[in-house]
Amino acid sequence: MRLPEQTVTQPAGTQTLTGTSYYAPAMGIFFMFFAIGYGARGFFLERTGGTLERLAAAPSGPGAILAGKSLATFVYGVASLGTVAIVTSLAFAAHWGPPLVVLALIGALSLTMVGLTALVITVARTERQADGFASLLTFGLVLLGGNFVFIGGAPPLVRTLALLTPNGWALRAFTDLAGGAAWTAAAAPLMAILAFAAVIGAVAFSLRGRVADL
Amino acid sequence: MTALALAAAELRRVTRDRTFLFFLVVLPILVILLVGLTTASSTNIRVAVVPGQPTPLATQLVHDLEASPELKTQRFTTRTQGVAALRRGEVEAVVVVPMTLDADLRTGATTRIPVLVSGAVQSSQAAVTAVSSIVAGQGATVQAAKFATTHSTRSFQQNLAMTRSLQRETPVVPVRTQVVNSESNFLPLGYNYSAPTMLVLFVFINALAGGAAIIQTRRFGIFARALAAPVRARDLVLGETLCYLTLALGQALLIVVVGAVMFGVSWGNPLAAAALIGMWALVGTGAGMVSGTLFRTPEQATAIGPAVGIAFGMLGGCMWPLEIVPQSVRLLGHATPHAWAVDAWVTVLSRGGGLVDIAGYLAILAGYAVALFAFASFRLRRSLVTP
Repeated sequence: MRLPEQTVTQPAGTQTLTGTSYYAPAMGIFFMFFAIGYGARGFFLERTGGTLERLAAAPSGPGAILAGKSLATFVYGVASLGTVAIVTSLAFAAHWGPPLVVLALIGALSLTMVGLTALVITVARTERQADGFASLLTFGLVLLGGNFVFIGGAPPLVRTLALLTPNGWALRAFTDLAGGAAWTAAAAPLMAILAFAAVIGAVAFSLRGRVADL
Repeated sequence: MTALALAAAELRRVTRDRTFLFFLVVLPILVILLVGLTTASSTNIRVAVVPGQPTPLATQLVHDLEASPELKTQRFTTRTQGVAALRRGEVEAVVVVPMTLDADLRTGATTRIPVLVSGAVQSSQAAVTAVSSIVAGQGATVQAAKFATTHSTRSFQQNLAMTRSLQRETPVVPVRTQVVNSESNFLPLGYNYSAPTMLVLFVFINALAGGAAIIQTRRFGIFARALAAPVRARDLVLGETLCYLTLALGQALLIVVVGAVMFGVSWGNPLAAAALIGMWALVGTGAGMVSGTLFRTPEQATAIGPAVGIAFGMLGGCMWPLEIVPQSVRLLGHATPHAWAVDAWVTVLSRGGGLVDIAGYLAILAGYAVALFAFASFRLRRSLVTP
């Protein structure tokens, strides 16, 4: 006997999100964030070695020194996550999305990392402190942002909290793209990451005077 | 006694480092909480519901879906929002209640309720089956009410209410599933998964990062000065070992206590768990000592150590069960001691194993510990006074 209501299974037009497509960007971002510590520690090592004093003698302000040290992390970030994207796409069939959009997201995230590195340099007083702050930032961000666990399986509150981090937004964009969304799905996350970069960079810039005091 | 005094002094110095304490105490608990929360919430079938019009039958269907113990539902206003949740893996299927559900059912038309699934239908099969069962339940109720309406003077609404009332009173034939083989190759989900795996992960990572302190001690020339006193090199090595073994055991104990008290984790057979924790602390300490002798600067140890520890943890099944990865990756994972430790935890926690059942795993871990200690002792005795 036929019932008056039945379910009918329909394709939603989405791609199944594979473990590789999720964890490739998640872990790529995680390891990319280690550069915050490398960059910040490098600054203090140069100070210990006397290189910074020599740089200060040149006609460049503390802002230029800070920007120069922090920008190195930008190159590292792009190279690091870019390599992960290429290798996991080719070797493990991870789906990252359209290359230009992926590049824009990686660039935006690397800019945020520049700001975070500058922030650690301005806040810390010693190499040890820089190491501590960078570790706290890195692990705090990846824990909250969903890099350690599959955030889609987390309770709604945890998913909302993830959007308080730039890596959480990046992961959302990569997840949407891997799930078959159009490139436009990355627009809002891209704006959010750039906003994070601008705010963090502005805070670090406002504290640049602390670098001169070092 | 000299070794104990040296161990105590080193322990005091290391525990003054706030970053180290963060990794030792705070981070493992936060990760256990997060991983536990995430895996615990994925035990139900997660389904998005787009309710449609707030008509009686549509509302009743949404209520039935939400009341199902098998399902964990989330309401969305539009189909697009539901599909976005599906794309992100937040739900396994999207039930779109048709706008015309009530009108169609009342007029006798057959209604099809779309269940949207992702690319691979097989992955959503459980969700489709569970939703179909609930929809069929409502379909049967409506059909009975319609039959009664055509054979009585009562209205459809009255007959629907009566059918529901009779359904509640009619005894149902229960179908019960019985698990006949409860042995599992997985750790139970939730905190019972996250606590033991994070114990394995963090004890090892902290031990590796702890190698930085050994390098720093060497670079400060503390070893060289200590050797100028009537202290044997053997005591220095033993002192360092005892310090890091105490830290590893302390961290493991903390995770056990926090896991049991805060998250209700059951640690299985106490003897087997204690032996496994003790052996893993030895493996971690050995790895930390190797890190302290292998790296040249403390920066190398703190930067490379955790990265290596996390990579080993991933390969060894601390982040996800090795059962879900390809055979080749599983084999590669077993090159790390982590995989053997996680396998031992599976035996203790998922199969009720005791000390005898994990003896093989303990022997393998002991092999790792001996190899690491032998290598570290050889290197440390040679490099004690090398700045």
